[in-house]
Amino acid sequence: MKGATLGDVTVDASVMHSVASKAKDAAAEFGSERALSGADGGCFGSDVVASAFATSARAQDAMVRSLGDDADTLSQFVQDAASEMEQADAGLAARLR
Amino acid sequence: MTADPTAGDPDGIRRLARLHTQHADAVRAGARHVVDAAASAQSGWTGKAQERFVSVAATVPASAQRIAARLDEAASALDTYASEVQRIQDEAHRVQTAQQDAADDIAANASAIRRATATAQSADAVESDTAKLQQLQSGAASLAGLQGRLSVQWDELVTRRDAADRQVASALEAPEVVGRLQSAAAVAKMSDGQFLTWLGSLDKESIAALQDDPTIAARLARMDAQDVAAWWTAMSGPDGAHSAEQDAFVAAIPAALGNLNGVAYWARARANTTVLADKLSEAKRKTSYWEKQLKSASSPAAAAAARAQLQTWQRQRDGYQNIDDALNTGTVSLISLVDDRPPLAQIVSGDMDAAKHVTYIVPGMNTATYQDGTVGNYAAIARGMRDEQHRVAQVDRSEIAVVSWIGYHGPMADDLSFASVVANGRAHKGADALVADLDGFDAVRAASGRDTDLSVVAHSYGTNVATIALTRTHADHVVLFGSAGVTDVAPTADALQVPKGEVFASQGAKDGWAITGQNLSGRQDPTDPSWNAHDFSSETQGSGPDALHGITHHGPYDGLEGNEQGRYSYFDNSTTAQYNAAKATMGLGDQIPEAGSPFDRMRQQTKDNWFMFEWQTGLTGDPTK
Repeated sequence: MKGATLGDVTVDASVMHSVASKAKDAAAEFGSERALSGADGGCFGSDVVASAFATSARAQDAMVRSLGDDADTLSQFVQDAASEMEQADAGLAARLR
Repeated sequence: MTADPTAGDPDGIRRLARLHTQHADAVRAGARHVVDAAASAQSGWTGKAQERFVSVAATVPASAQRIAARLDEAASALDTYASEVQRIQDEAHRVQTAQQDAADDIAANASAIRRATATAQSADAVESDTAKLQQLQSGAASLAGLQGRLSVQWDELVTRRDAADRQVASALEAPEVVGRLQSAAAVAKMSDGQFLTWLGSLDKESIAALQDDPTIAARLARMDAQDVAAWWTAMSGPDGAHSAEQDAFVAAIPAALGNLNGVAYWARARANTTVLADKLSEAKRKTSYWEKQLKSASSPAAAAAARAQLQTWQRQRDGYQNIDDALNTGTVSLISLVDDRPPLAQIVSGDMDAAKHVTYIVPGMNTATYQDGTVGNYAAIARGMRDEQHRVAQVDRSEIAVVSWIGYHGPMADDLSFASVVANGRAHKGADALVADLDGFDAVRAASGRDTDLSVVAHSYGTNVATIALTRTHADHVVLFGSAGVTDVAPTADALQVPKGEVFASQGAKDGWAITGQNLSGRQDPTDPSWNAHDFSSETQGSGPDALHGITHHGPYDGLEGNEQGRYSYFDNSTTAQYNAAKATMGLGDQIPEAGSPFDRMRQQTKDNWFMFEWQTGLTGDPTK
């Protein structure tokens, strides 16, 4: 069986696999670079610049992290749908994963 | 501080610029995956999870675009800075070399002048010696001039470097790099209105950047609930839908929002779920730590200190675990979680944001989250009251919400605070908290434009809390169960900000503790006719399967297990007390027969037990004759 319908939920296994995979890829991309705030501000040779850099790096790390959180949330939605279907069809859920 | 034209590592700065560019590239690549995922999700998947997926995914590309642009802007600023630092350093090195050469020349010239002077002043000096000396002296003046010019050039480089430092610092803090984020100093200077307007202007990724800023949480906690409600509601989507910005605030600062009056209850509940997990985890760690400390204590004093800490953290752990267990039933949500000792919690059955009838249940003494069963019982009490309200008023459950408000520290039976049941200090503190929460509820509803029928049902010492609170804020209906006495702050029901005829009171004939509390404290019995409430019965009514049970003692809840043993408390299902309270809180109070005054109770007691009649009246015989 490639898909199933349960109440208002319709799930196609190949679609869900593709969606889940892309959401995970997105999360991986968003988290692929080392944190800006971990970088050494000593290269500036200026306390003023080092301080401004630390502030902006923290903010930008948080912003990028929020995208990672969004991607994790998207993955969770797929997981929720799989769990919902799992209660109705354990076999389908296995294929979804 | 003077800038150093030679300081810094341009290559290192360029590496940082590249790191920003790599981040921007990764953000754009990630966004492309999200766009692809959203496109794939459009067919072959339907349902609420799919709708939420598409809704969240739709916000990511724009957010990613903004973030990538900010990273690019930072990279560009850093690259420009690196080049300028490089140029300044190159110039500085040239000037330094020239200065060194000039210094060497000046030293050599001075030495030559000293020698030429000696020669020119000697007895055998000739005219050419004097000429040479003059030439050297002229050279010294030239070298001094060169040194001066080099010094000016150096100062110019210091100025250039200072300007470059300021320029890049300004660029890194500019909106093009950090969005609308402001420095802590700038935020501190804002008025409350400016602060909320600024928060409301932030995009979701900038909101995420607030999570490490404790000043935001502290500032919000001091805000007026009406201002908070206006700010929060303005961020809502069409028809009050959750916006990406609201979701971002919940994710970024859950501890600040979880108890913030004025914020929508769905957001508070979600925030508190996050905070609860953190607090439970912390309490488990601390409990484990103090268990080890107690075992390894090196002295009786150290053991006593460890034991005290252990008891505190065990109670925290048990409190949070009990709350977590109640939430895991999936039937209630957590609209407030206060990290007090022990924790306080407000547990809701129903949708607080949508319900047209909302009831706050205020518990009495000996109610604490760490106790076995208490949180679960109050979750059941909220569910039971909501079901009964639905049944008696034939109103859809979606229009009803009931809050079990474990929002203050009542007197406890298992510690010295038991004695405080006869005093009013805890009631006044509880009333302050209840007023804040009821006003907060009003603020949310006023901002959303949804009207509500608001009720308060209080039990035992909680009646003291509720009546004090309702002299300062309002409710549409109030029910007082088994009151341990009401203070003179509310000399009669008329003192409460509740419509006339909507203050109800009931005390079961078999409730031995309510009258004890009243007598020991000297507080008023709200069922006394002089207090002017609408009294109703909590005794058994009817017979057969439709019979309503009379309460058999003072408690709030016995549950199925207790009921099977014939024990009933005020909030148990199928009791006269719960039935009448449901009617009163659903605006059907005029259907409730007036009964249950102290005299009615005495009559009931005499019917149940002759000794009670004799004990209370000093008379003998059959009182019904």
